[in-house]
Amino acid sequence: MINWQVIGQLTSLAMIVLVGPAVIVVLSLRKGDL
Amino acid sequence: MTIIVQLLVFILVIFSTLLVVGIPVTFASPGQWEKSKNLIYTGAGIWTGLVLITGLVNSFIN
Repeated sequence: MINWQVIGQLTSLAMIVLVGPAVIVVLSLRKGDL
Repeated sequence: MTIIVQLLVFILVIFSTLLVVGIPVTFASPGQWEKSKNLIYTGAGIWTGLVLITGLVNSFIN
């Protein structure tokens, strides 16, 4: 059986952790005011 | 009713992620704020409505 709760928790954690650097990457690609 | 709440929460998570990326990018892109102001205000309004509707619908499930 698959532990769906842990998969959900790790997915949520990954999204939260990756969204911060994603802002920096998008800004650098769009040549924003870093 | 549970499936509706689950759907609303899923939409809320996706929409929140979009706003969390989009709003700082708009703030830090020169000249973009003037262009995207209305979009961001609308997005914030929809997000608030989604939170309230999700809370309301959630109170109807056991």
